[in-house]
Amino acid sequence: MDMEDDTVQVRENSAEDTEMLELPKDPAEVKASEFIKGESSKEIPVESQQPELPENVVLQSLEKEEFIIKLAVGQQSEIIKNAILDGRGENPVPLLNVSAPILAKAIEFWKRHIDAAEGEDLTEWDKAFLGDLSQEVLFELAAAANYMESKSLLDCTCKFIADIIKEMKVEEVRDYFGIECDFTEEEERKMREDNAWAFEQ
Amino acid sequence: MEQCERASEIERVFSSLPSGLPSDPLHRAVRVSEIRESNFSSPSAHPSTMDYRRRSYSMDDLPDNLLHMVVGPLGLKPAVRTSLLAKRWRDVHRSLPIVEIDEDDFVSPDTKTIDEYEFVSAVFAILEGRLLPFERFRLCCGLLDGEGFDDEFKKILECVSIRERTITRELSVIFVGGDFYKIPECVLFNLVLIKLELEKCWIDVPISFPGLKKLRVLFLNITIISEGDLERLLDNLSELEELSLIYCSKLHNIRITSSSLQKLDVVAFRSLSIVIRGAPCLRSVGVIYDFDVEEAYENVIDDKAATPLVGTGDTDRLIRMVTELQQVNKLCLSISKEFDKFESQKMVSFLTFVLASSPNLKVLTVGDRLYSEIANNDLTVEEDYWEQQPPTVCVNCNLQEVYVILDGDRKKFWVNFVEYLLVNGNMLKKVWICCTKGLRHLFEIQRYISLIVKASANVIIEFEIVKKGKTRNYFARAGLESIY
Repeated sequence: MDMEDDTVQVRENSAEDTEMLELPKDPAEVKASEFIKGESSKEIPVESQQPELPENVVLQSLEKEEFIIKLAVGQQSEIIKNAILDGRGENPVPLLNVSAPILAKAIEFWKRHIDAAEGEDLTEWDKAFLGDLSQEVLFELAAAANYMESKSLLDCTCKFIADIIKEMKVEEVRDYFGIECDFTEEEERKMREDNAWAFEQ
Repeated sequence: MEQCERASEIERVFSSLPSGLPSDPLHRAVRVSEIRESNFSSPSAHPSTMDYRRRSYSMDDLPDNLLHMVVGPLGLKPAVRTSLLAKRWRDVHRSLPIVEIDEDDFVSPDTKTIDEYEFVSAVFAILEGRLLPFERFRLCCGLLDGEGFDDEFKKILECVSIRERTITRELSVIFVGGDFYKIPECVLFNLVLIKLELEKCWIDVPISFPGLKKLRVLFLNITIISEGDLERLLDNLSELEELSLIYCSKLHNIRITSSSLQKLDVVAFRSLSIVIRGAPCLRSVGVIYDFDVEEAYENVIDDKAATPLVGTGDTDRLIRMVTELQQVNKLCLSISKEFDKFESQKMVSFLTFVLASSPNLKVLTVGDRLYSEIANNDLTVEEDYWEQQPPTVCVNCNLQEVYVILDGDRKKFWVNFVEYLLVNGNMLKKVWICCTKGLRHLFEIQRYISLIVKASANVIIEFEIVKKGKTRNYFARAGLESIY
């Protein structure tokens, strides 16, 4: 299988979610069709046709600090995954919008999720992990997850923030997150009026 | 001509938006270009390295698509309330990609009723305040029909079907009132719709309509649509990939001709004739005849107007459907009680037929809910029927997963069937047996099966017990996710 074609496919064909290790053809189907034709069973194309992939990946943070992680861990980020699949195999992978402490946290999250046993429920661990972070780090981590296209981390951080807001009134949310209200009293009153249906309690 | 221009105009609007989910292809397209250009001008876009170093991070620094992921799940009213937090937040809720409006959110806690005018004006307020089109718009209420709101709801559906600023890519209309809601024609004019879900609605399909050309998923639940109208729809939906017809009582003879269809699920409370003619992409088929529900939908069955069923008998009809399924990878069949024409002998020949005529079958789900009154009269199946069966191509080479849901009394029959599959199934990875009779029953089956010499050494066999009559949830597990 031509690796070059795969590269082009991953880059430009962003409309499809291409699986990383894609078999050329389903071995079972190949066998069946030959069975029907009446031929003797031939060699089935085996998964080892896949090109060599590095076992470890090096990530480079904003400060050019380097982190070495296993490939499986890094694959939870689409940016990292694509950088490795790219024919040029960018190594180290530059993540210039993510600072080192944030990247370290992201790696910690990915590692825990990769190491999880099948069917293990990590919601408690996720809550504790995110609960330990300062607000600033939490937001930075969310932005980093967005930038690195890591769905698991992004979903988790956004849900965590949403769960906090869910229980609070508008004033409480402002206090908790230090959001400065830049509306005038008049503006605020008008907004409440315009969407009165959402504000009655 | 004009419509093509409008369609491409709307497509342009969609492709230039950042979308909520990182794995969404639209979002990825935007992200890739952002990385390449590193050119962020607006404060609400992704912060560049310069922003990052300049000041400490607060929630206001997060880009819109992230705030959508935080605000969206809060629910309709709390999401709108976030607009009051600060100017940065004022417009976040007005561009949420997913908006789900449920009349339950409008029940007044004091009076326990819904103020209809408030509900309708709230929906209008949401539509008027909209900054961007919807990715998904879901409307669930009982007010759609009658009560004098016909015009209002027609306007609402027009907004999400043809107005550029409020058009939606996925539409769900769920009616919870007593009768059926007649879907206005404008829904068929939507040029960008990719998923349509209707529940307890009634739809008439004109001979031709400009929209739905991009529709990929059609989900009709307890919906009244005539056979001719369904065919007309399929003719026009040239990109349809998934079709679910759940308790669509007016359909007796279903004819499927679709060059693009990949997945078909049919759930009915009686036997139907399903003829699949020309569906080369079809890979997954699910058919469930669920007779228990008949009482619940009594008033819906319109037997007088029913066209006579094609074919000579229920089994023959099923067999005929199966002849068209050579390409199918995934098949789910379940027949429930009172389907008294399905004696064991016919069930046996039907199963044999399925295995023989679907060589590419990888996943098979069978459910049986025949109870003792019928089963005890079945003396027609030989004890060693399955032992004597030669293995078929699909069993030898392709079958990977088998799910058997036993809610009846024909234990021995099904255990012999599973034995046949295990003895011959070289590619079997998983066999999952769900039964309703309790632990002792389960242990007997487990013990019997553990003694069988299996063709596939790595096969995993799982057992599960479920309450009698509660097997419906397990079809979801076994692959019929669209239904449950």
